[in-house]
Amino acid sequence: MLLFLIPGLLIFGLVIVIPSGFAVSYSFYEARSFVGQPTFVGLNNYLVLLQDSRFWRDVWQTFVYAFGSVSLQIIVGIVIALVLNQQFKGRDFLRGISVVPYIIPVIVVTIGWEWILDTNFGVVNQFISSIGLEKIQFVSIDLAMFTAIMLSVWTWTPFVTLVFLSGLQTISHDLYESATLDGGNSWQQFWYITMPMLKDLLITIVLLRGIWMFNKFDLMWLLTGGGPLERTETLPIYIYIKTFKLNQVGYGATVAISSAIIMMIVMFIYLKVTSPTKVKENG
Amino acid sequence: MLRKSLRGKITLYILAITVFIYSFFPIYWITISPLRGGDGFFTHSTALWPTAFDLTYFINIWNETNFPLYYKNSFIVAGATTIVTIIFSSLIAYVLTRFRFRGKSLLLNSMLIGYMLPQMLLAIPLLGIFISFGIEDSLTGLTIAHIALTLPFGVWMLNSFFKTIPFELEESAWMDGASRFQALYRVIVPLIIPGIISVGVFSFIVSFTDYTFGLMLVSSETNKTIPIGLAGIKESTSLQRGELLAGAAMIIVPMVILFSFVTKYFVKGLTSGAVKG
Repeated sequence: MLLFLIPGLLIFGLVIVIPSGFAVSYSFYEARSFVGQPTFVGLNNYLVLLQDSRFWRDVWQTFVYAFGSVSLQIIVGIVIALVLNQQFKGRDFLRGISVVPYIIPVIVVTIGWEWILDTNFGVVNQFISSIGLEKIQFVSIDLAMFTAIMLSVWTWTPFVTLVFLSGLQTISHDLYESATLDGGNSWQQFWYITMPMLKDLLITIVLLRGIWMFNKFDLMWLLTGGGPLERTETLPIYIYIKTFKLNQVGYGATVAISSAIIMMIVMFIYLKVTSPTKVKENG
Repeated sequence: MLRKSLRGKITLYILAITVFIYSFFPIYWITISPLRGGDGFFTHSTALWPTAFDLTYFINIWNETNFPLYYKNSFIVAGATTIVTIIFSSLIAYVLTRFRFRGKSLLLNSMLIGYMLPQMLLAIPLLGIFISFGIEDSLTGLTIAHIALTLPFGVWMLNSFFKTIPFELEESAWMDGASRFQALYRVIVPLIIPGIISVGVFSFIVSFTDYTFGLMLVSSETNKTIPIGLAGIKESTSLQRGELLAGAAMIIVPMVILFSFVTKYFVKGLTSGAVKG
């Protein structure tokens, strides 16, 4: 038995457990680079962090980004799943197509959408000006966060769609039939049968997507780099800038640890509030 | 839920077409735009249909940058990540579902926590560790980091697959004189092939598309993967948007074609592993 477990545990320890431990210990040091000798500063980094207004503003912006993109992903994902659960020609093909945004690299998503949304040559702005409206600067101070949320919704919604679709398939048809006999319309069926049946599923999806969006770095970094004027700077971007651009490795680790702690607290409260009927631990 | 009236049917098809355009239009656009070549790229930039078949931009990015090298690196890293993840996640999941031991739930829960950790949090210490082992800025280091992302998911997913296989199947193989390993490879592995394929597809996609770890762990030109390389090309001003879109198209077209063969496994894995998990 140990024979089976040891190699896996070694890798798991090497790539997850040990690095997490290291990250905690880094946060107690002041390190100017990855190679030099760090100085132990105790909790000083955390004291600095409490006073760091850039950190607290980024906490807020991270929540805006995570909340905005998760809630829209859930809504769009459920709508698409309901469509894909109907009977029509080409359904399997469409199910495949609907997953494509999820599998392409984020760099491709940003290059492609920047071209689609381009002020001068983009097809969207061409359409907007053809109906007589003013062209839109999508990565401006006011709209950058909105655009980032929209692109995140486009890319990561298929996860919600697929999970919800598989949930829909577990609901017995009899329920809908008897509801139809009782005179319930489609909306009532959705609200009184589908949603209650999939409540636990929904709680789990929100949790997973919330965690992922809170920690998301790539899309925002590639689209806005945190700008303009740091308006779209989220915690992962702040951590990256501190650690890798400004070489404040110790402080970067402090922000990373604090970010993880904040997220865990929020998730804990979320699970307490939603109190799923059964907690999913090991399935 | 929509009743099968004509109105319902028309509504359904309109919705289906909307979903199709929503999901597929950007892919289509990324592919046809660079094909317009230098002459039509800007002048016909908003024509909805393909206006030309000019491969200039594709040839430019392939010849003038290290794009072919990025491509090769991406396949090496993603291939290695996939193989290692499949082997170790099936071993761990097998032990988790077949043995009782102390700390089992601790192990599963720590897998979940591994799932929750920000990539940033892992990248900082990983770079420190790689430097001390002398594997910083290498494909090996990047592969190890990708495994940190795929292994917890793989274990979680396969854990649910193994659970569906009754223990009696293995026991009867033992009765017939098979060793534990033989029983595993002859009886169990064939049954969890769909699960293994989903873990494989998932790991490949995660590693192939990763930008965050690549950005932090790899710096030299010869070790860049496609996402890092293309982002680097985007930052340098030497090449224009046409070439960038051509590069993007050269990533998604093969991915979409490959993916079309494994869709059902990916869908099955995502749904059974991630949620019923």
